[in-house]
Amino acid sequence: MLAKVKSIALQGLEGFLIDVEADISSGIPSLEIVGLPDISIREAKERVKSAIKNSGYEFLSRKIIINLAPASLRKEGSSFDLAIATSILVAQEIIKKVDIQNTVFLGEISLNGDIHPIHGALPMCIEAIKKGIKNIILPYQNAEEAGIVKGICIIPVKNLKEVIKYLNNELDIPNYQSNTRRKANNINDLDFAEVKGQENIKRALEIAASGGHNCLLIGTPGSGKTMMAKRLPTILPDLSFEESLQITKIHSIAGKLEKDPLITKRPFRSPHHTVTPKSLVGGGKTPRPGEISLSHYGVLFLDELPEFNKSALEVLRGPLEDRKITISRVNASLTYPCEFMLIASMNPCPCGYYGSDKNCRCSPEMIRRYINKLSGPLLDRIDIQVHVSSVDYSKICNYEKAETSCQIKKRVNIARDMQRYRYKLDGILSNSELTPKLIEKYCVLDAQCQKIMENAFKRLGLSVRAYSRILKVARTISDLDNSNNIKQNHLLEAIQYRSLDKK
Amino acid sequence: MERYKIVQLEKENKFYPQRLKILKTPPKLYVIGDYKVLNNDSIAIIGSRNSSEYGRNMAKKFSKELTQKGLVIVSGLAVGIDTIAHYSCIENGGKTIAVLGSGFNNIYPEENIELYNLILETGGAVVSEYNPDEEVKKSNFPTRNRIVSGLALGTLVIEAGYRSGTSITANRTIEQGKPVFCIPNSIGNKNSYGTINLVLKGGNLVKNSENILVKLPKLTNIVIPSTPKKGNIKTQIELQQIVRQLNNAEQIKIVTCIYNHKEIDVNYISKICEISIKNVNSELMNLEIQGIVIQKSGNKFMINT
Repeated sequence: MLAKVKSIALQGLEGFLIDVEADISSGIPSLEIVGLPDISIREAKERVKSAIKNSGYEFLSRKIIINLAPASLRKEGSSFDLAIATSILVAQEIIKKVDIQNTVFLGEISLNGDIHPIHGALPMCIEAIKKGIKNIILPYQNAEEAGIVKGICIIPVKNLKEVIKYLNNELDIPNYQSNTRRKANNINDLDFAEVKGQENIKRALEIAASGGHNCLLIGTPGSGKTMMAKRLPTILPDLSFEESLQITKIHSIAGKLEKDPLITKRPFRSPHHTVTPKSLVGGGKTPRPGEISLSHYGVLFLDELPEFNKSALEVLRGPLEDRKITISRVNASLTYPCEFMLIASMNPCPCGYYGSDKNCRCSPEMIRRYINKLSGPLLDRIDIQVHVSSVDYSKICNYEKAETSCQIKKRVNIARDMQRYRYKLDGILSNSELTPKLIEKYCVLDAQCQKIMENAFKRLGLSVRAYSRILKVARTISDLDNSNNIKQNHLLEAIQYRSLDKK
Repeated sequence: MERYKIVQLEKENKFYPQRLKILKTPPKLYVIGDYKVLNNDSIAIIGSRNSSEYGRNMAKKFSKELTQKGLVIVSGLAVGIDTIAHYSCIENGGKTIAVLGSGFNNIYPEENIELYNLILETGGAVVSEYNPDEEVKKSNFPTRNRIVSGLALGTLVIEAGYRSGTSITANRTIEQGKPVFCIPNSIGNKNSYGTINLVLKGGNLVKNSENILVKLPKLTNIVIPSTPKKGNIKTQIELQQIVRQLNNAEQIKIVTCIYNHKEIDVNYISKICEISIKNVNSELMNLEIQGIVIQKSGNKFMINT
């Protein structure tokens, strides 16, 4: 007796249809799984055996072979349990009829027959639709997550008995309809209005958000660097449905989805400075997404940048440029997207108080060594560098109500629209992605501006690498100003945001 | 470097610094620049290489005041306090003497070569007891300290750590029977270890340049500082001069605001002048390029002096 049902395996964000075949023949009773299963799949035979028995059905004492095809693909995870159990039940003819071409089985089984939730239900569903699958049977805890996508019939199940009854038409399980319709999640607990003063940083972050520029905040302890960085996602433009889906897929694979089935807020990830290179970019036997991929379309915040392990920082260089990361490991070589905005913060010196009203205890040599911890190529990828001033306690109370995130976001959206329109033929979305060739095309300076640039370089001793950064930021500032050309004041303001380059 | 000739002064030479003659060594002194400066009234300003911000400020202040009183500043061309003392003297139109611990062809530290040239250009002198090809040796630096103190009428110690080269120089000064001056700092500070010890040994605690001058012998051979290119004490008239260069109302507002506050954060400029932060930022950069204001560490701006 031979039976065949379908399941899905994920390799990174890509899904593959897997045929789960069961063959029952006479011989010494055994259950064997072949087709490059990992340990968690191999252990499935014990779970499946007990689950079938404990659901009140007979488990035949015959030689049973399970094959996971294509056999050349490495498979892992417990999501095949349900498909294996079903294939055996079909082979045993306990389940009479299955529309195998159009149904996918996902789920982990426990010994008593209950079905447990799995990681990556959303990307599996999306892949199933792509492959033309009509029905998907999955754990009911995953139904809400999978329900985001349309065009597939979702059948949530609680235990193995339900599955058998449903397939034998003894029980009707309604197609799951997601009742949480997608609504833009505009409610933020954080708002820029809560930040008192610090107008220059708010302005810098507004520019960063408008052009997708990476940003470095330099300031004394307690000056509010982290507070402001946390509020950056509130002024970034709203996510489109496709973007939300993409983020949710990545988080689903990493098993990081929380209550909300669909992530509608831009992610904000702030790994601690002891983070290893592998957890930053992703890794593992079968590579899983790291922090940079989890902050896809969002913000990656690195607090206390010089405290990070040098090797951890240097691995960021490639992804910052390519906007995706390919990780090669034993089992697979996978590519995850990582279009994030990097926001970093640091103190001006080891003791933290250089340039503030408190006395700094550091020698110039110590300060130089501290700043030199950041490599030139990394700083090269950070367009905006600003100093955060410390705020007097007495002044905190005196500030009138500041602008809200909503008001800032409106301007950011307009600037982003301008860029999208301008670059629609160039295949990029924002000013931060401008290549040297495109800079020449879009960031033209008139004679006066060139004069300013020349003087600035002479006067401030700017490094050469600052040149294109300044042009990009100036482009964004002129977008915020609704201007087609870079004007003098735009350029001057852009130069102001290169604190670390000055002599 | 070729513009300046190396002069060898033997002990018998009439230009050999008078004050050094009481020392047994060195028999011969190599000098670049104006060797007559060596006989002017001078004071040594020395301090830690790992200086604090306070130390640097004090070095700047005292060097400036003493220069204005007509003293030549002697120091060791090291990083930290020495560098500040030399620069501050030059900025205020004075002449300064650097004593090297190596030969002229091996200036140490290399980053101070610019300063070395500046000293010579402004009529100062650089002195070494080693022949020009002598390499940089750690052991040579403590020995040169006796020349630093030997050339000067007295020694002002800004900051000195435990077992520092600065303390060596100060001890030489005491041995040579000259006054040592120390500026106060808190007891716990690691940079005040040496200065406090010196006071206990009989050093003079000073709070301004007057305290120093009264202890020195009568000045007979002072250097009158040339008028520096740019004034140091900004007066109302100077503010008006600056304002005259400006061509828009916002710039004038900003400059006046910075002038009135001496040193002020960019956010406060925006608030006080009631100009949006983006305009303040671009105008400040404009002023900075023109050389009218400079950015201090952090976001603070001040008038360029």
